[in-house]
Amino acid sequence: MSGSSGGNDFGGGGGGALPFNCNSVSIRTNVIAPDPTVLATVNVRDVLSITLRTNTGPLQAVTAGGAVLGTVFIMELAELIQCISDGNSYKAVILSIAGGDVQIIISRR
Amino acid sequence: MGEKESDKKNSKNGSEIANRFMKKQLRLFEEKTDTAFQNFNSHTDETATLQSVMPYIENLPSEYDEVLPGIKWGNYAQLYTPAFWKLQYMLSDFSNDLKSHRLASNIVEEIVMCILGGYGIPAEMGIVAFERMKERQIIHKNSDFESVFDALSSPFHLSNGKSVHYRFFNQKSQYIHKFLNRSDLDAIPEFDDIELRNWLLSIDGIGLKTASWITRNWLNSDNVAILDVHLLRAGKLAGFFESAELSNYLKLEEQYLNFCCALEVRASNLDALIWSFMKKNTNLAVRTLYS
Repeated sequence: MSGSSGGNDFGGGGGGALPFNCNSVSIRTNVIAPDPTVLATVNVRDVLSITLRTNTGPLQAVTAGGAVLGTVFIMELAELIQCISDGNSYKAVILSIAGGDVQIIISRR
Repeated sequence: MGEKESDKKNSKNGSEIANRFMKKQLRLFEEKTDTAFQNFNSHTDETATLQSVMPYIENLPSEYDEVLPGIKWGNYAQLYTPAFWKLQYMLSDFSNDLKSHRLASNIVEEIVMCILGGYGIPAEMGIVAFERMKERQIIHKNSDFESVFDALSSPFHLSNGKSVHYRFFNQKSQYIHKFLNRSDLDAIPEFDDIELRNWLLSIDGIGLKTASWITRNWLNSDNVAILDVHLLRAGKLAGFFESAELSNYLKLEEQYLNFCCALEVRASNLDALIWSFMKKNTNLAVRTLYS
């Protein structure tokens, strides 16, 4: 069946949304389930690395010291993973910390 | 000036330079982070979206639990895992039971549409060919071969100025003409999915995949699977297809339906979701499978 593209629903895919641009990524989100031990070591304005745990994810927010703060989940997950696979690298600046709630903004390095 | 004094001065100069360098780096860093702070309003803000997603995430089983014997749920944020598909399903409008997959307004048109799509034909090409046949009003009983052939063999002029040809126009014209000239078009069993699929298999040019596609579309059937390249790749990546069985359509279909059952999702909708996702991210899937 290789090469088939006949598929299925013809309606899916985008509805006029702009294509994902690896160069202009700018997403504000929260770190999911931050590790309390690592959380105690980070501050607002710290810069984290966005890395992949495996080739297909999950995305992780990692401190300069290499500690994993937590998972990052975004709506266009596959697109960002594709960008990283293509050699782009991304950082996340911590915008706020409120209890266990860590807000970050992801952008290209 | 003595050697020690000179060393001291050099050292002082050196530390001043280092200090200035450090300060400059710090300023640059602050400017960068300030830019991030100042500009965040113009960024995509997913914080509220994530809040609405969290209840779904929290209700997923542990990634180490098995969804089927030998297949773990995996991480919801890792592409192609069962947990990933379950979450994508919950977040999509495919989770709405009322969603229809029909592409046409009657079963005869639906069959023609799906004959025009299928193996080796890009989805978009199938659509423009179908639209032309509809415009020319040639999708009806006893349609003549010349009209169908002319509709498919003439080039298609796209909005970007390009001109493209429909592949296999001769073969597909014959299939469609033969279908439209069947004597039992008024007796298509269009209310029972398995009966409909079996009937569709009697049409020249329709195999199990296309028959399942029509059945799923027309009846929102959850008893069939459209095993195209995208679903096969997804199945291999998630682990619900055993590679030894890749040539056995009905066996694979059973495995896919079992997977849907374990995920507690509608097979018809997950199929459409997977197809859409895999088509959009083909390169990544191929790279993951063959790396």
